[in-house]
Amino acid sequence: MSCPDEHEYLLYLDGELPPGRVRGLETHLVGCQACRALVVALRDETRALADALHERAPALRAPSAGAAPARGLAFGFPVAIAGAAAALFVGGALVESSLPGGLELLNPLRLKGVYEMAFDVVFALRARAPGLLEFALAVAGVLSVSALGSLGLGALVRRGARGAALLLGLAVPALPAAGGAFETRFDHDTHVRSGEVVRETLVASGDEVRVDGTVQGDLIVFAERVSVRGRVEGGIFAFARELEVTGAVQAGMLAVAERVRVEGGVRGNVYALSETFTVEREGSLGSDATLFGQQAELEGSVARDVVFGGMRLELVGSVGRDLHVLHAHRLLLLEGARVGGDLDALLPEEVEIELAEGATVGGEVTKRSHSHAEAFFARFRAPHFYLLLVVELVAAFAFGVVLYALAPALFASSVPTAGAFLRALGWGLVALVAAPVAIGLTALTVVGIPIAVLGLFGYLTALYLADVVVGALIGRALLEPEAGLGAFARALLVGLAIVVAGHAIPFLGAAVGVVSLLLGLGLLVERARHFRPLRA
Amino acid sequence: VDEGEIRAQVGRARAGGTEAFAELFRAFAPDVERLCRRLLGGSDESDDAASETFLRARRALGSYDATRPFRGWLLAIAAHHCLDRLRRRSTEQRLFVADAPDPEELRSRAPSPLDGTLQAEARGRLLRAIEGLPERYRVPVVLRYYADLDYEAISGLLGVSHGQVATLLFRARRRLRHALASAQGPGAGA
Repeated sequence: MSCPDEHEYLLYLDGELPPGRVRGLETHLVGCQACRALVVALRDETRALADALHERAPALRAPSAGAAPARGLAFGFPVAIAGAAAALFVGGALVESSLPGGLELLNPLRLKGVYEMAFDVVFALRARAPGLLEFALAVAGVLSVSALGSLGLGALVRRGARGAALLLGLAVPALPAAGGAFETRFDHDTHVRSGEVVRETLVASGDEVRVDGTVQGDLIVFAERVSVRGRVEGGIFAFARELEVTGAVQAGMLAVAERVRVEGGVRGNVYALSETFTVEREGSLGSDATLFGQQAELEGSVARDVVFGGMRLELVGSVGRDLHVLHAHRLLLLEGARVGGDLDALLPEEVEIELAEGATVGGEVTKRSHSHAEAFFARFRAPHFYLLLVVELVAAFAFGVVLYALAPALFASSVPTAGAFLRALGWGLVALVAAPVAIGLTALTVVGIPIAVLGLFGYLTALYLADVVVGALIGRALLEPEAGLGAFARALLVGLAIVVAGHAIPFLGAAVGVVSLLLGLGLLVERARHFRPLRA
Repeated sequence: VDEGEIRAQVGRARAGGTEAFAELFRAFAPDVERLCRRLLGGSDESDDAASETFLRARRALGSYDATRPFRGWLLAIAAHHCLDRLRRRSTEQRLFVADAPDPEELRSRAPSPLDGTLQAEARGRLLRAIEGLPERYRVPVVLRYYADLDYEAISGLLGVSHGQVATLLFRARRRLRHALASAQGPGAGA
């Protein structure tokens, strides 16, 4: 079907097209990217006309009453999936944590059950609809690149399309090159038999991955159950429901899993996000261990420091140096437990360190409380607290001004209605939750690792940028500045001062921070959705 | 301004409340004055037209349908009055008929280089370009995008068909794009 002409789209946007023709037009719009771009451009032009005639600043404009262009199924579907996933996460988290307001939502230590749900969803998809999971991975890759990449590269694309093209040109050939250095096994059941030697890095995915032989490179694995009884001469990067190491790992281990059990030895540093993390009596970790999750039981030995954040830590074995506990509701050192250095625990006021007879701590035992009002207000008396605020303000301000000079459109968002505000918050939440998931999944495809790194960079930038965008929004609403960098800078300074001061408010500061983060991310997402690198 | 409050004011003004009408005048005078300026060009005549609009509105208040927006009703009166004046000014009979497209205009096919994020300076340029349009294109643009009248109302005011209104608006946009593109020079950013 040939495209309807501009004349027709003008009638459509002005709400003057007969209903019968509207249907046909919208059906066409769903499938035609060029026409969607045309409609968006025409609508912007209409707004520009109305703004000029009203002599008003666009930031204060109510949304146009005209028909919104159909965005199309092609875009709506993945967004619906991401939205549903985010809603599941949030719902589950709220029920599980039963917290008022759900402000503790961002605390990953408290999301018991969410781990399980996330794993369930991923593995159910993998088992029942492998095609769908591949599709989701592809969509995640495309989404994370298009949404986050367009933010990060937006300025580059505008300033010099050549630079961005060069970057992309470099990235594309790098993908298969990166993939070539791996041995990949995507079987139902991947088994490296005893005596078998894999001479390079093994990338494996399956219901069950067993390594009884030797892997000379790293082991990168995505599976329901992973057991390493043999030897891995590199490190382990795992996303699994169950991860069991009874063999030897020469380098470190990075695991996101529901349950991790170490019965063998891991030489390098261990980083784990898991519901339970267990080091059995025979198990040993040769370096530092950083463990986040519901609970950890350490019966074996850890050669150096342990950092734990979660609900329950039970130590029966030994920690060579210091034990740092960032958060716990029970901290037990049972008979035979030994900490070579200091024990330093940041615990809620009502929680005590339970030190059994026969447990030894070589250094000092310190308990600090983080919810005590005294401690809470102490920070407001410390001069460096205010110094930090000023540094934060200046850094954000400089960042914002530079960014405005490069890409002023990034700050063109407005929140004219409560609906727009809520919508922005919703997008912010989706971005906050979906982006890391998308980045993680993209990284698991291995060839997507460069994309994931780019995505991660974009994500972190967006997190930082969120406050800057909100600051600019507030400043503009208050000062209604004219065009120009100077006026923008003044407005930004005022807005940022309000945002930074808002963060520092006792008790409410965290809520202000969350709202500001979500709103800023949401506005960025909306800018990215309307971002058009093509200049017709 | 709150729509319910306006309705209450209109009710009081209808009952003969001079103070209430004065309130309405204060609330809407800037809008009406601006519309007259857009349609007639900045002159004493546009001030006259604005005052005349309020006189007419006061007389016609009885016929105002309270379910419709008051601003639209008032601006329609202003538009009507201004068009009378334009017609009186003009020697040409068929004022609002699209003329033959000039080749320059046809060349600017792409949607506008302007996007929704207009800065004050770009806004000023666009406004001047609108003011520079021939009457037959300027008037429908102002009626549609300033007074928010629909095609039906505009076609009634201008005495042309619905389709003609669409054509005039379409052609007006092309002319504006062309005027802005040539003023900015090639490659200038939005």
